[in-house]
Amino acid sequence: MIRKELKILLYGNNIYNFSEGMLGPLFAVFTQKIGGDILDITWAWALYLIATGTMIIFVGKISDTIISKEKTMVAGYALRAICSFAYLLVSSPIHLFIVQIVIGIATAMNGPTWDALYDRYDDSDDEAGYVWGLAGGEGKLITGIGLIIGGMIVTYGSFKILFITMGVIHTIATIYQARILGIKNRYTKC
Amino acid sequence: MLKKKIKILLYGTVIWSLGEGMFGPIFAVFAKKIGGDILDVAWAWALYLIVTGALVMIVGKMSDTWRNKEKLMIIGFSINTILTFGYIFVSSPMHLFAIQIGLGVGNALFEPTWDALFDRADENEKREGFLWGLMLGEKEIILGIAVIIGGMIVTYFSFNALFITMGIIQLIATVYQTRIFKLKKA
Repeated sequence: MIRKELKILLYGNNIYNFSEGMLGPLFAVFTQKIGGDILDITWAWALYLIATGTMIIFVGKISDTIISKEKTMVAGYALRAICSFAYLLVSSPIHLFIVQIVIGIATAMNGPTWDALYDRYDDSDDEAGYVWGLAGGEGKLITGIGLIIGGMIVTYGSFKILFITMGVIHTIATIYQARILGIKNRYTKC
Repeated sequence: MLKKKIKILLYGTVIWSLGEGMFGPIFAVFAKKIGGDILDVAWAWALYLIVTGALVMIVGKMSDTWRNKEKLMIIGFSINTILTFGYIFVSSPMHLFAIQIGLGVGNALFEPTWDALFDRADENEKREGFLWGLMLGEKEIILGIAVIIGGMIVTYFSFNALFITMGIIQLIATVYQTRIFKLKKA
């Protein structure tokens, strides 16, 4: 039996991953569409990863002490939702670099905090493989389905429609994941 | 002071990420180069994710009853190393789909087992955020560096040069992670 907190974290992450997966490798196609070459694609992606990596170590450190993990995570989800809509304003590689850096910061806020919370609420020592398999497995499945839908939206619609769809779903994921704040508050009051 | 087991898992995944990350976002460029369109790009990547996702839950569940999570993890890394070299022979979207499915299987073997081993390697709950942050942070920075190197290899050389480089680095990572067996025996 999985605890309620784990369910919120899992389902919230699934909604998030669905939206996240919609762009996936089509990111390269979008970069080429706005005038980027292979090096622009890799730099844009690298900036996101390096921003995430740098900030993630910092966020991981302070989330144990100064700020609650739950609040940091939900703020990261919200920032990511804003960034999905921000893609609509991207018309050059430089714009893209900026959005990617902010997405990196958002991921740094919601990545390690989500992992640490999931780890904390998992109290089944003998089922660690199953609990982590569930997290990784569901996430990947949903991301894969999101990607196929994303590919269809771009093929039969446009990148603009894709970004609006992603933004809306990311917002839903943020609102859903924010439920963990209520649960935490109830436990704190008790 | 980090425990030796955590160090092996951390450094192993850092080396692995350096190899794996080189392909990153230019996967789509490769898929288009071998004749794929946007839907082929999406399907190829989605197949990898769906196979990984479906199997990772099964493997995660099964690995709880198996004592040797380490062995499963190393088998997964080995499969993916071999398949990285397999990219060299890909010349159509169908070949790419086959490789992606294979990579999904390998990923499903090492991902949940690695997470579970890392999760249980440290009992100090006070630094859980720091440890996960360290793992994810190092990994992302290395992936970022890898992506830039990968882009340069493809721009100035070729995709084949990229796949050979990736395969060799992943092989080193796999061999390095096998050190975890020695710790288990000790």
